[in-house]
Amino acid sequence: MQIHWPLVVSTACQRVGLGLFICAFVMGSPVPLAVVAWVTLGLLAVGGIASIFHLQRPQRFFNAFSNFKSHLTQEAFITPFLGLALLACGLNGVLYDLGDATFVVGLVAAVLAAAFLVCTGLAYQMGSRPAWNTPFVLVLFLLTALEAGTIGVVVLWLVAGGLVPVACVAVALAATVVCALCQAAYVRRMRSVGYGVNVNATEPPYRSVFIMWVVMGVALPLVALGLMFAMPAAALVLAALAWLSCAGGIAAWTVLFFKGAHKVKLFPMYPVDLNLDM
Amino acid sequence: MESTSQKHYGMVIDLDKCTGCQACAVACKMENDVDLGVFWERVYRMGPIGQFPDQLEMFYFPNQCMHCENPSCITVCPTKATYQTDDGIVLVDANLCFGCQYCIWACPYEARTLNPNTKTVEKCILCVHRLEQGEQPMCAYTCTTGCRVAGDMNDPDSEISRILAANADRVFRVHPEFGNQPSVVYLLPRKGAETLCKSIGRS
Amino acid sequence: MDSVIPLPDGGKIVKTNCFECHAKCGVLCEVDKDGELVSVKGNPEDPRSEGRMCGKGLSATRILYDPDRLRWPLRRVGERGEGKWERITWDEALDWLQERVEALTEEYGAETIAYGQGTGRGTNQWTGRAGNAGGRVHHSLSPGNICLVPMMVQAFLQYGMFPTFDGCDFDNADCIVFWGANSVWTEPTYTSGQVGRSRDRGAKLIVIDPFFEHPLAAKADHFVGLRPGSDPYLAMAWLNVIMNEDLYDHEFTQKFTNAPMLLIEGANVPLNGALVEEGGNPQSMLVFDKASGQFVDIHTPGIDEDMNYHGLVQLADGSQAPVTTVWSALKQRVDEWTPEHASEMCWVPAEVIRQSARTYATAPAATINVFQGIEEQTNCKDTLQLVNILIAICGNLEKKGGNLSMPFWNQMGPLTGAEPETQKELRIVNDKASGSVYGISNPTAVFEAMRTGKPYPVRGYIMVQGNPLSWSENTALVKESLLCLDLLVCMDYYMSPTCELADLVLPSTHWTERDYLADEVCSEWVFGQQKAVEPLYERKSDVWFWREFGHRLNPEWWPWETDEELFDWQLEQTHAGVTWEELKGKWIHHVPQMPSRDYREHGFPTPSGRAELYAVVELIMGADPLPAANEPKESVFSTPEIAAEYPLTGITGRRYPIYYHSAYRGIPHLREIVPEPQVIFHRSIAEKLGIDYGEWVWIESPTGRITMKARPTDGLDPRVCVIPHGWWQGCAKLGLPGYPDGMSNANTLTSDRVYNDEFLTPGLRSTLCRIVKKKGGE
Repeated sequence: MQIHWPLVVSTACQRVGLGLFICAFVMGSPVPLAVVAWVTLGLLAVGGIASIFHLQRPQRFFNAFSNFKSHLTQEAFITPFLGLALLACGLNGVLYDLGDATFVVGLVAAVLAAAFLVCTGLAYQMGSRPAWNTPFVLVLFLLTALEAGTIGVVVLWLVAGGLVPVACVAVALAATVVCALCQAAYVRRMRSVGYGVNVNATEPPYRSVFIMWVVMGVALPLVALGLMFAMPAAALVLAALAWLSCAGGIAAWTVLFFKGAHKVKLFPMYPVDLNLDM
Repeated sequence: MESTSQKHYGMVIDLDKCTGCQACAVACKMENDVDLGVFWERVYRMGPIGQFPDQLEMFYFPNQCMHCENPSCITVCPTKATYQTDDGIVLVDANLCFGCQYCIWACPYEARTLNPNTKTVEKCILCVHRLEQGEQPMCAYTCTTGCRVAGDMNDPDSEISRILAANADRVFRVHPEFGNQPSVVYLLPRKGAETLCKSIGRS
Repeated sequence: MDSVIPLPDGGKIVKTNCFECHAKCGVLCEVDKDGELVSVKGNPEDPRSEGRMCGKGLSATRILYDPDRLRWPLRRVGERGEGKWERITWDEALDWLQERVEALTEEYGAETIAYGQGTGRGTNQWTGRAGNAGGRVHHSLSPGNICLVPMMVQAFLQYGMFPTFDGCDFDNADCIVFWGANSVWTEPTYTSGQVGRSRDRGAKLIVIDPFFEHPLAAKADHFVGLRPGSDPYLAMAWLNVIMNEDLYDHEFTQKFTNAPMLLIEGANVPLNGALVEEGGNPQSMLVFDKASGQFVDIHTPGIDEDMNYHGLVQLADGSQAPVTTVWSALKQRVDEWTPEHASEMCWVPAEVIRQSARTYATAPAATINVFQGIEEQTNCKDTLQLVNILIAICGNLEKKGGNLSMPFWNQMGPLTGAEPETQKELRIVNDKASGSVYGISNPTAVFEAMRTGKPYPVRGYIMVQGNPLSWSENTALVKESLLCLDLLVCMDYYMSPTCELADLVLPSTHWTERDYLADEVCSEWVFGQQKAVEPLYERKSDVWFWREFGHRLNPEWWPWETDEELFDWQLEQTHAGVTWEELKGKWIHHVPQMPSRDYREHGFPTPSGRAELYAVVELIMGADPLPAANEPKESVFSTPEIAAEYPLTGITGRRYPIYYHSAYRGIPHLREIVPEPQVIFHRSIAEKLGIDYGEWVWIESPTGRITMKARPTDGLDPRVCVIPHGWWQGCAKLGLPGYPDGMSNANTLTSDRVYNDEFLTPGLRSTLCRIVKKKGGE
């Protein structure tokens, strides 16, 4: 299908940013959660601006709250609360000091962040596109966020104190592997979704973006994370590289995700498309 | 006593008759003043596929909104711009639509287009303004083969019901397994769509 | 007045007829209170179309108000074809034109002016009248030889009327045959709804066409996908099956055709009354009456004609002559064309030929429609004659569910007026074809006269609704010819490529802007085709032009002061029994049927009073009175040396249901349905040549070369390709280009080397060509 670039950018930013916040909250962050909240907010802002370009009539945005059965409405509904929660986190220590309540606010923000990711992931699951007609879509949405988040936490550690617990790196490696395996399974599934829209990602026109995903989303992060053990002096650089590469990999993956998701053919039993020629 | 039963508008299209002349597509465009680049009705050609001269299949397929009983588009529309009337017609309120195109993604029948000028989504309206006057949608009115008839599917005496009953063995909805239950029902060609018929278990 | 219905808001509905094609579907035009056309839709009261209407007619508002349409008379300034025009008034235009015509006539004779048209929106007879009024010769520089004239004239010669086209009774037929015709796209009026209904009640369908994408081919009980131009073999094979399996209508054949007519064997001429009896009537054609054992005139009632008489006959002069019947002579020609033999020439399996023939002949009532698929061939006379024979001997002539005579066609004679005495002498034909049956000039020979001045100079060409740079074979040569003219006048909707070369370009009203009669192809009716809106700008109707200009040049030929007077006269000639005012008021009027409908009473208006299998008039004109299995003059079989270089048999002229010949590619909502010209050929050829779908390729013939996008298909024999015509116009609104200089014009390829002898028809639908992949950068 046609690639909706604003959605590539916005969903990538959402996964990287929200994944970072959730992992930082769950795994414990060496950097104050408030700072993480600002990074997340920054990424969400970039994503938000990008998604405005997707809407053909952005001035009507407030119509989006009408249909709670629609995942888009759910997303729209969560957004202000999520924003407020992140803001509340971010202003902690600046405007006020929450003390023990920090945890609660962080939890609320993390839960809302997770809910946001779930709604966005579910929005892409639909019967009309066989490649997207699977719970894999939501799972992968979350796993990619997890991969970016765990690598992001490693970066946070290195930025904060120059050292990172091996467990964190291990978790990042594991998340990357699990995510990559699930992505590979999804790619494999694309070859046999039927309805006349089977896609072989290793062939043109998917090939180049497939390779980009493999390199940026799987190979580089794994190699960079692995090399951290061999070259601890370059750990920060390697971690940063892994994180940026992962972000790029998510973007490349999303492009492949869009490209490979063709609408069901009306008559899939015929090898040839509907003709408009006369 | 007047009947108070609920109307359910639908349309039957006999693919055995359709000759792909595009009159319906043009009629729709003229009647509804549809913009260039936007298509509420398109007539496709399936085939010819096979071996010339005696193992070939071909038929024409007019496509437009199916006015489903369980529309995918309504579930996903965040603004409720897309809605369904009590008598089953699916419509878009252009004043509410903000062009997110979620409905276009969700529709399995490729029925909807984004109008690049108004930046809202458009599609076949079953000429609801004509149905209200008791007239056929423009596509059905002008069809050169007379293969399209719209009407109340809940009324057993309506022309559409009679046609469906008389041709029950050829009745076909596209992708019934999705559960959308289209109100636009096709009649399979008696000849020229053997692969289609075989794959859905019909002779 | 029934035909104009006022609306409460001050607007009105006008009942009139569309004229985008010849079918003239009844329409309802909605006009608002300011006199603007709002919408157009079919009129359910039209007994033929029943309210149905195609995409072209529905687009009326866009065509009427198209800003690209001509608005006022334009006269050339600058060089021919330079594109510089000055706007003048109609009076100035007609004054100027009259002076030019009179000057040229003075210098070269009236034969120097060719009158013509293209499709002619109802002006067939007026163009003819203009040419005849000149007094010396009517060249008829029009595509009549490729459209309508062959099938109409051949039918008239055999039946005295014309029963294909709108004479096909699809609604009551048990078997429907489309032979080289795609009426469900080209005239859905009287075909599509009717064909569907008949099929619903079990009627059989036979489609004889090389291309499986004929919209009815997949639905047909028999698809006969024959080689383009091989129709005579198929028809002979059908006759072979029907005659040998005894499937013909014995009564009709014996009593109402000239099958039993006696011929002198060898000479193949009728045994006439003067030959058998001293003082006998030389016009009397004879049959052998088994009841009396005598030779009697074919008109004699109550006889038992011997279909198989054979023997030596003593002639009045004492000599003996071997005598046979038309039936036997026909059988002799037919016998070698078994389905197996025909199969080799037609590229169709013998069993398909056999079964389709049986299906046609055994149906209780069957109808055949033919059209340009078989007309645009150099063997058109044979195919048309054979088809007419099939209709007659199977008893489907003037029978419900078969082929019925329709009134309009018989009136063309009085409407055009008598041809000049010097017509035969002065018309221009050459050794390529004599035009034995069609007495006008061969367009290609007239174009040659423009270039060479031989046999005499043709310096002027005045036409309405015509674009010979689109309809004529060998476009490049036609262009060269037109550039030689002293006077070129075109009246049209748009500035076509021919208009661009003209001295005077005149703006023609659209059917929504003009009053006229709808009589041609209107089956048993005549309609008042009144205008829905006042003509825009300074447009006039083509009919008005012929009448006004004709009146200036030859008032005795064009005495009518107004169009309305002309319409009244026209209606008189067609015995309609109604005046223009009355017809305008009621919109529709039923016209009396032809007498041959009741042939048992009145017979057929032919020399023998019967449907003629052997065309006596054709004998008199110097053509073969019986059909033969003639191969197209340029083909894989007849010119293998050309075919060696150009192996594909190309069909030009296939229709689109949304365009009309070369018109309407500038209408945006139509152009977006079919945006580009595509050459259609078999997938295996594409693979062999390494050509992808959508790639621009060359199509080459001995005459020229064009380019189109490739469209591989499964639906053709690999030895055949389809090359659509009419592509010149751009569409600025969609950013789609025009195709100047004939670069995508199918007639750039077609041959002006060979013609059908009787009707002067070029073989447009079997053009030898090849497809060539473009080299990088081309």
